[in-house]
Amino acid sequence: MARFAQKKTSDFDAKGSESYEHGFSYSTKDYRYITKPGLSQKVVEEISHIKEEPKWMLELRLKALKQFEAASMPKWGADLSGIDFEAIHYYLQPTDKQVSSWDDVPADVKLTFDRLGIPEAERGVLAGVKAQYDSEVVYGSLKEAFSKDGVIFLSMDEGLKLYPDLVKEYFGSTIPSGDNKFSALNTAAWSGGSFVYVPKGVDVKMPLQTYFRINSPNAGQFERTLIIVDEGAKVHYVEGCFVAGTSIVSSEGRVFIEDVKKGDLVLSHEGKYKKVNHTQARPYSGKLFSLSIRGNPSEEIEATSEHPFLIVKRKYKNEKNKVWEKSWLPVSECRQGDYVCIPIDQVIDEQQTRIFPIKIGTGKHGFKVEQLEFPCTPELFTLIGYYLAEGSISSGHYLNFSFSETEREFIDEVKRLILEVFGETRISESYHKKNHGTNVVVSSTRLCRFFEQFGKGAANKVIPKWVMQEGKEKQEKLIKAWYRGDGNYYKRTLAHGFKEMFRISTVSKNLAYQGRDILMRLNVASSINVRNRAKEKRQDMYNLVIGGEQMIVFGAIVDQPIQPKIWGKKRATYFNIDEKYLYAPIRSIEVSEVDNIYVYNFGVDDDESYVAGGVAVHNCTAPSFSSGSLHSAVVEIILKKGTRCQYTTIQNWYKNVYNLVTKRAYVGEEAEMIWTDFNMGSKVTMKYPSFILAGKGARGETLSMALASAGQHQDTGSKAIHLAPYTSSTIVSKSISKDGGRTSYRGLVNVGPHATNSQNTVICDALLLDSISRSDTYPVDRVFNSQVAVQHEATVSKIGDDQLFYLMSRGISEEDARKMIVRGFIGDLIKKLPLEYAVEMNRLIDHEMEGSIG
Amino acid sequence: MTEITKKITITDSEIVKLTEPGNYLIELTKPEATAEIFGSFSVSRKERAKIVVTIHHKAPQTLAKTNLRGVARDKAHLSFSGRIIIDEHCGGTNSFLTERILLLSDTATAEAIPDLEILSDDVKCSHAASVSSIPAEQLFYLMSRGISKFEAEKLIVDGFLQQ
Repeated sequence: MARFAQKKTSDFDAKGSESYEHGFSYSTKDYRYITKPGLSQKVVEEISHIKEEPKWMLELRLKALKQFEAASMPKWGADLSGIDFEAIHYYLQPTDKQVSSWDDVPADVKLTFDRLGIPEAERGVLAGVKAQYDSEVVYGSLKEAFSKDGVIFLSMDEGLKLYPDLVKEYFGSTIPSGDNKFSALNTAAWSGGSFVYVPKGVDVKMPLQTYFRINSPNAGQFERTLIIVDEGAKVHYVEGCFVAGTSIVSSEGRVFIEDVKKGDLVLSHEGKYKKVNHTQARPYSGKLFSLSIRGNPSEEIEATSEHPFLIVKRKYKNEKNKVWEKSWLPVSECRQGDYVCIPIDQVIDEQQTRIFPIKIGTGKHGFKVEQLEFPCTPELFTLIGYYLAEGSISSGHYLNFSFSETEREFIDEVKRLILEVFGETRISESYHKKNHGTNVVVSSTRLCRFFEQFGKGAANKVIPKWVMQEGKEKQEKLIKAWYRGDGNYYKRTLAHGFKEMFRISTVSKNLAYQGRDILMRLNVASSINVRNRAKEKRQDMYNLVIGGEQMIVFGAIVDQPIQPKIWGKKRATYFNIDEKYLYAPIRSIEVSEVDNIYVYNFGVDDDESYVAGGVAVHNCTAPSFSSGSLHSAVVEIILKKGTRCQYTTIQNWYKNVYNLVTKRAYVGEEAEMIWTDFNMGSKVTMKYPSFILAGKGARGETLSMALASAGQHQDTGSKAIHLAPYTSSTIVSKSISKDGGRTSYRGLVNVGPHATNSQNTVICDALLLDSISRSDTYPVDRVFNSQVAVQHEATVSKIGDDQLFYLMSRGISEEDARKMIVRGFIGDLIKKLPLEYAVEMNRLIDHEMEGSIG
Repeated sequence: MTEITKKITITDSEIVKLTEPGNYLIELTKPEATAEIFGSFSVSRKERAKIVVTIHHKAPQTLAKTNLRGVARDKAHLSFSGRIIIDEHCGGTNSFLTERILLLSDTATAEAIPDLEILSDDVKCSHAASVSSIPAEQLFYLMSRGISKFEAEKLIVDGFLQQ
């Protein structure tokens, strides 16, 4: 949960920026072992060697590697072309050994779990928690009571060491390595995962839980889970793949992050304004990164380490980049000299005339509102420019422009323009002897009311939105007039040449930053520096400085042409600017440890990004790596006679993860397997939990829910293989597609010739929330004997107008009505979850549904 | 039985009867076109029959009701593969697909594949498939009224295929 901190000063940690070399979301320098990317026999042998595995396991891995290489990618289902097997790190080992107490877990790992929002209660009160961080299980604890009963709950590696015979007997028995390409991959490269053995007759009442998280870019996560439930035993296993993921981060340009409210509009990295859909604040302890950006050194940006920024990596040490390729990188991967991207407001709203409602007093009768209409011309913008520089309002009714007596040309221009634009004739001039100043005074209440929106005095000057978004030509006029009033051209000869720049000075911080924004629209990059004048007992002075190459464009705007070259060489500049972004190099990065400060959070519609401290940042929780990560797990469950196992997964991976999982249970006589599978995250999910009903009277049940938003494809379903008589299975699948997401149900029901008197029911319900989304159903029923009842039902629908009408006629808003209908749609599945997960799910769904009207 | 491939374009309102196994592509190309598709099949001995029906909705406000029924005896194999495709911008479309198969011997086998591919919202679409033997209660009902088992089966099957 990356967040931005409230502004605070931080001590410089000189080593901080040096120690983050590996380019992972968290420092991986402490990782004991990282394999090179790519999978080869050598890598597999290395993994097996490090883990000190028995020979049969190595042989199994190598056999699986061959099968993986020989197998082709599945030609059906989702698009998997984005996976680059060569770029993946197949094994990362974060800590030396497993720890059994939560206190011994390394601090940064703990922090990650804290941010995942794994509730304290779950860690402490609930039974066993195993946490998988990258490839290894780092923390495991099991309630003593369970150990007493002989329940084994270990990481797969430990399981292999302590119970080699048990593992050898069952490993790969339900899902052989050659089952499919990804099970082969997992068998070759597996690390971590859980090993669970429940002895005869033991009923494990508390759910066993595991959390997984991918911390590094291009890290594959290949956990292997093996659950063996011996006769008459019962267990519930919960797999929480990245429970957090709901809430996001930070601040908008000139608004303090803590002041951002739901519904505010913030600029996204696309240069458009998007709505804030939720906000959040929470205490944070850990590393805080402070970035100082060239051009804006006074305003530091502080972020937690995995927070992604839109960054262009520096290519050359002493030269600017030639190509400007942007990517989202966590702040911990940024280096001094890299370029941050500052989005330029792309909104242009040009008008020929504008109307302003103005309150005019009517003596003791109060106010009446008058509509003041005037042409919105370049001349008006020149006047606004002069007002920003020299204007003020006195006594509420007198509009003043204060010039020096020598600025005769400007004085005349202002007088002419007031007459031209507003047709105002009540203009007088007054001379201030002591300051050698000339005041142009306009006695017009209406004009005063109009100019009030630009601030009444020098320190609170501000540019309203309609001016910020006007056309370029008009804005150039404004800059030109502002420069005439408040700006100067500075040239000083030094020993080695000369220093040359344009400057505009103001005491209004807002105005300085807004001036910078307008200049960006005019293709000029500028810097802001602050001069503290407390000693002179004056306000801070903000200087907008235009130097180097930028002076050429600016010179043209203010009619003060500049030589394009000095001594035949191009003028230098730190910056690069194009239509959409200003690229400014990072001046320095500082890292500090903070303890329990409040960090702020908010989510943004559509673009999921915003501008913090002037820089484009992403609002996601999980590290956002530019390359896709792969999660390819294998879960094997063996249920002996009369047992029951429920396996619950809540999957909310970050939306660039390929989630390709093989899950299968072997269900013995009178045993019962329940898969509860919730898929909300990841880019592509292909997961079909299956059960082989091999014993007489075995039962299988799958409850599957998928939610796909933009860019996601949830290809999920279930397989029921009936091999024995009197077996029954139920598959209930609910899917919701929105914002162009795609959900598919892909299922197989196979009733073998010996599975007489078997029953199967499949129900697939799909809900489409808009016209760009897609929903598919691909069931296959194969029946090889006649004494069966196989049923399949599927419906696809949208939220009915009549349903909405019914709810809205009872005073419920459309958004709430939609949420209610969706909640009802999946309600019966949610009920099957443990309470805290049910709460979490409802919250996630509400969040996902927010703002999805239409 | 020889396999046939047939493309049927529906622009108005039509009832299509399918009698032979094969590939059928049924396209609804004009708004408000309606199609009722009914197919009944009976296979016995070692026959293998495969019926592939694709109902492709290419225009808004179209309606299709597809009903496939089949009976498999002896060692026969019967496969129904129905697919409903609704293109983008085909709002107001309703499409229903039913596949029902009766297996009359322990050695007869069946496969039912009802697919949906839906690319627009504002549609009502469902499919249902079932594979089963003749329910024992139905046989019992008829036999308790003095009808022989053979006759009872025949009555049930005839009724099943005729709907």
